[in-house]
Amino acid sequence: MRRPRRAAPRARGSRTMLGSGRRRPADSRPDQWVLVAPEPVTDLPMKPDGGPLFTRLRNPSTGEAALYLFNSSAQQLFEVKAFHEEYRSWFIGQTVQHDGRLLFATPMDPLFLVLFYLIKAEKEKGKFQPLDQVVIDSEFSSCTMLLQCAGVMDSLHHVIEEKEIGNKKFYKYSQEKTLKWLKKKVNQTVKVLKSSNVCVGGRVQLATFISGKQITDVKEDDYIRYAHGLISEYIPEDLSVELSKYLQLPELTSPEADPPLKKRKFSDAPVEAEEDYTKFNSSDLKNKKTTSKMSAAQKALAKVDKTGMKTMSAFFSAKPKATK
Amino acid sequence: MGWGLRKGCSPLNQHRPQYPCMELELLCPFLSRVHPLASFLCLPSSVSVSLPAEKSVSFRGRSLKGQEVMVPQGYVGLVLKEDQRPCTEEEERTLRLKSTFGTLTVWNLEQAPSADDGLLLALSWPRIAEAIHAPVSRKEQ
Amino acid sequence: MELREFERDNAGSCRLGSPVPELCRAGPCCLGIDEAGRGPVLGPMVYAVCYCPLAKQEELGALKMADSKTLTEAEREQLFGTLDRARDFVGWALHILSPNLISTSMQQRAKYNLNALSHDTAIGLIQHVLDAGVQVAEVFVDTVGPAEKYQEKLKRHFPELEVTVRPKADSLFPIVSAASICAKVARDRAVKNWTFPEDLGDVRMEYGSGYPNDPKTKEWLAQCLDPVFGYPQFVRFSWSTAQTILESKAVPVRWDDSEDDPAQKGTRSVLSFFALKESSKRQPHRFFHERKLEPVTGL
Repeated sequence: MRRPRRAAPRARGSRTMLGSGRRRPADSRPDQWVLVAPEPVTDLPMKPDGGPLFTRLRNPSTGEAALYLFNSSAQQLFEVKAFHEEYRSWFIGQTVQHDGRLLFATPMDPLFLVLFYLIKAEKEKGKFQPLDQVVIDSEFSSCTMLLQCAGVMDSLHHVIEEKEIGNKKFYKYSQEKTLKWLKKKVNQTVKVLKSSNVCVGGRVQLATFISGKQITDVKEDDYIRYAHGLISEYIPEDLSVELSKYLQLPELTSPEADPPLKKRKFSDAPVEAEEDYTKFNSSDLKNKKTTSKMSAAQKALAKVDKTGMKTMSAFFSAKPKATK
Repeated sequence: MGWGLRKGCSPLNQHRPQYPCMELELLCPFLSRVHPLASFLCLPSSVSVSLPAEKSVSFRGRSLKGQEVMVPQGYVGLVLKEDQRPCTEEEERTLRLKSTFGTLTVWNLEQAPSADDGLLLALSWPRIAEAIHAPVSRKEQ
Repeated sequence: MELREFERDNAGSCRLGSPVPELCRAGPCCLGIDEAGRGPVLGPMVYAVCYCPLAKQEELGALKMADSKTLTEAEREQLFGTLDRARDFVGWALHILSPNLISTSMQQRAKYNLNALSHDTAIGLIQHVLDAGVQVAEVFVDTVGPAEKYQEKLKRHFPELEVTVRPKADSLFPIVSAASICAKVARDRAVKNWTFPEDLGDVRMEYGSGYPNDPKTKEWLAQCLDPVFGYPQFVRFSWSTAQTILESKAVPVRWDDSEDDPAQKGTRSVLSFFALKESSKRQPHRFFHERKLEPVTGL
């Protein structure tokens, strides 16, 4: 995603890389994948024709297509991400696999995906609706499976107001409740960030399990901000802005708030890797700066524009990027 | 619109016990077919924190150093293969579980990957993801 | 000459030698150094030292050693037999550098050129003989590079020795001729008995002289090429002959330390790409950037 992969002759492989060359047509699609998944994903299905299912759903943060995995019983949802270092390939047994990515399937709270539709419905109609009229998507029909996931119905109350008329239940998105719920999410994320020694400060240091020391100037705010950033990967941008306010995160005032990033690599690491890294960081810094400085403008934008955009995207169904 | 591993014989599950744990090499030179240098020993997996000793091979006349890593606890490595891609986009696709693995080796030029390097860093993701996506309890404030 | 130790791992390097004659521990000796197999694109390079007491130089002369290059393989084998029979006053030691070691050294990030490798090997061998108790007094070395610098380097390492580095020393000094025969015999045997750990399928083993200008050698190189792995480890990847074929016929490999990054070429810099993306899309959190984790949109 950082570089237009399609344009270049497909060549991954790396550091020591293996590229592929002319033998392989540029548009050849991978037919084999290396995946790391929770062990229960491979559990035997209850029904003979069951089995884990990869499917595309709307990424709740961007609204674009992303790959997810349901386990055999369709009770659990997993998000799929790829570790992708350019120029790498797999050697598997006696074969070489050109695609050197390592896919990760990790647990995903389906409520994030349901929330996307609840917010959308709120913006479009703004009234109580039955769930099956909300979680519906002509482009991503599998989204109805979300409601069958374990715990989804039980956790809905975190994000909605509920009304029961006759025997039927009607729901309406509640930002107030959602922010409370998200705050809890942030808190549990902060906990794991601390126990996993993730470097949350502006400074990148060696993983702490090597140095054994946590950097002293990392503040609680840094953890909260970092966790907020992670949670924001799963919610629409305007909600992320609201959450930031709700968490009372101080705005980053100056670019100095993020001290220059330390080199992560050892001194004899390749020069180009460091260059890449610095470039990324500077862009990251820039990115943050913009976010903080423009937050007022963004809010306005979010209020005015966002609704329209969402509806439009739903209407024209911005075609998800074709898969390779 | 889904495509899955579920159609037909549901290979991902039924074949599972038949596959021995195999090793994966992220960019390593040939195995026995060509390079004997690559002697891939299965290392005791009792300790998950300390990493086993680095390995060494050569590839295209350059020296590679490898670090064997285990997949995160509670996770399993899978090699999935699609034997035949359906002609149309609508048809459900079927993947076959080709093999499973518990460890893999990452190879870098002349210097083994360190704990803050590439894939080894990425392996911390599942634990973070689990926390982000764990259900929020009613009581907790 | 027993090369089994090298053959056990023909991807590394190995030092071996004759037993040290008692006479060489008792009185001042001369020592000759020569190498074999410096030029070929195939097989190991062998360094050899040969030594005998200064008092036995006449007997050495009587063995009629000659520059190995002027001899046939049979003659060299015969002369090595002669040396072997003179084991009460002539000793030798070898250092075999496998083609894999040569390739990986020369292509190291911190380049280690063939001259430096040669010099260090020679120095190592002299030290090895000294450590074995041989009373080395005079050293004669054949060289292909600039003799003076090499001589200085050796003198710096061994100030107590009288060092003579001379081009064509192998035809001037019998002890260097003897070393050249040891080196060449070892190299020939190592090449002849090379066990390919690789399964080369039905590639014929007619690789000619191993010199880059030999058409047979070139043809063999092209024939045994694997698109991914390149050549078997019998080949010195660092030779331009091998490189040229690799570049044109094998899949390209991009190394960590290669200078040209295709992504940095062309009109768009990485930064401009980021800028472009920023405007259109939210950036993933730096957690994912740092871990090189990307979203996946499909299989």
